[in-house]
Amino acid sequence: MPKCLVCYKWTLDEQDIKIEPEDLSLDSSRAKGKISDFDRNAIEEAALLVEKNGGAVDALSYGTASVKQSLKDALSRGPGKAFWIGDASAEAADACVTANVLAAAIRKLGQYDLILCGEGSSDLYNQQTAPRLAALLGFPCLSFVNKLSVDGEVVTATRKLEDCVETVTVKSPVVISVLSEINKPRIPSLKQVLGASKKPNEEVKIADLGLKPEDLHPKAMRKSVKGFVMQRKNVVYKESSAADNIAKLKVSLASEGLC
Amino acid sequence: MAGIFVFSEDCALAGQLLTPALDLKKSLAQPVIAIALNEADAKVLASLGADKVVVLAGKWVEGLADAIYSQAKTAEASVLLVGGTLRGKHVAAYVAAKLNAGMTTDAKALRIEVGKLLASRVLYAGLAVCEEEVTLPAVATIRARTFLPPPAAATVGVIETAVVESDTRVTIGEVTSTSSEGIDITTANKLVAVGRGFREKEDLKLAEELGAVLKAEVACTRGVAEDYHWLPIERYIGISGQTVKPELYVAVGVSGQVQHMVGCRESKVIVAVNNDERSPIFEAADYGIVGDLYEVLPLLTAALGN
Amino acid sequence: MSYAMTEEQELIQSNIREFVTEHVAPLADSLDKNGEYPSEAVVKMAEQGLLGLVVPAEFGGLEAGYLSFVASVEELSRASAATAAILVQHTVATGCIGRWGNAEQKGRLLPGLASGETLGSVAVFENGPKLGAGAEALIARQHEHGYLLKGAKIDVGNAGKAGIYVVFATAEPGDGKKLTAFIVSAGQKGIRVGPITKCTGLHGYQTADISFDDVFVSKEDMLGALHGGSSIVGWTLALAAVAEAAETVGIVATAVKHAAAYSKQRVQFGRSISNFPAVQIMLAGVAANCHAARLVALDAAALIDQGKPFEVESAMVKLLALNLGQKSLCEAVQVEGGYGYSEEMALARLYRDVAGTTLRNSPAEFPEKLIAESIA
Repeated sequence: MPKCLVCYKWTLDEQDIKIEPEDLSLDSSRAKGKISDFDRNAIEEAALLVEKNGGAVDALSYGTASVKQSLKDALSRGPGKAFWIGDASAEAADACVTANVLAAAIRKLGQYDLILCGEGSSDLYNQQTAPRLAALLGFPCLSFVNKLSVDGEVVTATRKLEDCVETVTVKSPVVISVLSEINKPRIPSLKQVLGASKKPNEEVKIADLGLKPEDLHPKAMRKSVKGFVMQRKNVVYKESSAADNIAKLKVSLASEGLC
Repeated sequence: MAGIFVFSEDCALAGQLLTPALDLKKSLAQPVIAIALNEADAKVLASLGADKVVVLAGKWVEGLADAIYSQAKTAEASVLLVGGTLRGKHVAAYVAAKLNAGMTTDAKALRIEVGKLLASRVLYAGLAVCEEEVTLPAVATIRARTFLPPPAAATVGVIETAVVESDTRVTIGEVTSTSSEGIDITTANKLVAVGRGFREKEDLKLAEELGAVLKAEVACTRGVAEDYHWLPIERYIGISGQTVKPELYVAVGVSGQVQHMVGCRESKVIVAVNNDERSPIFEAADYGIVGDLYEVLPLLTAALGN
Repeated sequence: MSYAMTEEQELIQSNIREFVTEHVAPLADSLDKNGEYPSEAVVKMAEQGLLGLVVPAEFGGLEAGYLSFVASVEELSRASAATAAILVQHTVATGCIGRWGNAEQKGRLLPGLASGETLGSVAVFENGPKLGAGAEALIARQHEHGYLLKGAKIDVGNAGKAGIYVVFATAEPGDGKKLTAFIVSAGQKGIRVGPITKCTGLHGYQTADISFDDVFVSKEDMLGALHGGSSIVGWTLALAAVAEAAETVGIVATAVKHAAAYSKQRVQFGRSISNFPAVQIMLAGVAANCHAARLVALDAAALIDQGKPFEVESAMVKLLALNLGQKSLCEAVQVEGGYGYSEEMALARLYRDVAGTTLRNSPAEFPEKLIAESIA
């Protein structure tokens, strides 16, 4: 009967972000919020574990005030309760601050057998949260997991790495980061969507976490974010004769020293 | 603080990390200390410019994180460069947390400016690029082939061994190797990428023949590998596949969506063959031919074969 | 303004959008090509909770309201108006029973309709000059313990798949003013569903004529009062018009998106045609009218939820949908040129489907009459 906690991030949908052509700055004014893609897999995995083994799933998220918009979405996908920290510090928070805040909150919330995260967030993809949490909490960390099972205290995971697949076992508590291939998150039924408003959520205030001011000060700061625009020659050969096009291409490739 | 640390469980990658490390050494005037998993690797790194190499032996790479942290802490490291494999990222983030340090993931370029580490990296699934400024001590992961290894050093570094207390909490069970035919498309100098413009698996032969005259490997888009299973997953280029930067990338029957292009957009020259002139690939290419690949490829192969 | 979407209504809308992308959109083209009733999709809609969207919770429904229903119809129609039509026909019947049924009828029928165990349908129209007149008008003759229905209904949606039909009959021959509504079980002796009509569009949505040969209905199956069917049929057709307008809106929204995307990529005379004023005017006009129709449909639905009269607003949105639907598709095809006219393109199906959304549950009178009468 594992007690699971899933940490998720409320991000902007990168598909809605536009690049301003004049100065390549990013316009996210029309970007809608979403639960980061890999975190969805983490929530689903926790929900599946609990459906199989009993137990409970809580969700935890640290973000700006907008994090409140994520609660019903998260609660419709399996967790029984959502904890949230909505604080201005999240705007500039780097992976270090995020881990400090989450770890402090986890210490306050109580004992969990499994703490799950996505392998990285869909916006910044730092891929640091799970190992950082493990270090701060003193738990082992199983990262890049594509298969997970629980038997009492024992957690067995399969990790998929570049050149091998590794099976590992550990006794809970443990921090786990999951790959997107671990599951396909189910679409909640309307009953679950409407039921989410009846589930409890609780605000955790940063001031109550016992953090020092330097814990909330980011060590990594993003400067000069610019849209990436492909600068290519865009020469297109579209004569009616394929042979003509190929002849022209051959000349171009030769000029590039490629043939 | 004194020490620019370098670590990767992949010795070749560790060697490549010495290049930015030695560069940072010029700004910071601190020794370069490499962590190696065995004597043989240590000797290689010592000869490539590491001032000191510490050998930490252990069965599970991730289990060495505490030991690596100890080394970095004792030396009061200012920078830790870690190879950006999945194992490396796990270790790097763990060590960063213990050092209470900031970390930048998949840095493409590094320098010291006003006493901070400045790194360039990619955001929003390839949509944007940014510069990230990290206070020291700083950790950075760097992916393979971002840098070339440095030339052999004039002096050979010192090698020492440290005792490691293994992390007994995690039991490693079966480890199954997954590297297939051994073709690593990320090292290929030229690539021919196939997309859904091909109708049958047998038709890929046209791409293989073009590859043969170009001396290029064949790669593909996600659909060809994951949906059609015409090529193994290791040949798939894209946001959740491989990233490549060959001299020449020829995209045939590929529409050019950003999720694919982000994996190849650093190629020196991109060529596209597609029968739809509205296809986004032409905006992402240097040269393109609008035409039926079934007609164009054999003619192109013949023309370049001379 | 009668409404602003609540957080819950927005969550329902985005949930159904996700549902449609996953379960409905991938099947839309093949459904159009083979025209077979999409039973899998209907089961999925039932599991999702869509079939009981407007049914009170005490009968196993979600009690989410008509605004959410209309918003869901638009989302479904963006991918497959045929699939949406099945839900619309079902919900009109379900809503009818919910609004006009007595406690016994609601308790007996709504749970099955909400779970999707029973599919609903409404049979209104007949061959003849007026409802109740004509040789084939559906007549209800008094019989021991109930009535015998004899006659025929035309163009009945969900024909052959529905478990119950809400039918409107005349209890006396001749005068359509005295309609009575009955709930008829599909398995009743004497019901014959004719061949499924081969329609131009909305393939997969089954319509057919149904003949009734002395079909017995008990007194308990009378919906509402004897001779009280006219107000019921008015309400029913008004609800159908609002939902069908949402189908039109969904189809047009997809057509606009398709044509706009095409126009950005199509290059003529050195620049993309999306920059040509002619194209901009066409697409802008369609988009604006589409949005207007969407809002009027949602507003009318909100009125239903508030228990307020909505027949005039329903006639207005019907009028808007009529003007919007076919004209927009013609313009979208025009933007796409020869490409848009090809059967292989998405617009072809949308072009054929949109006509079916405005002529299904049309009352004998045109909407302008109702609107004009309400003004002066």
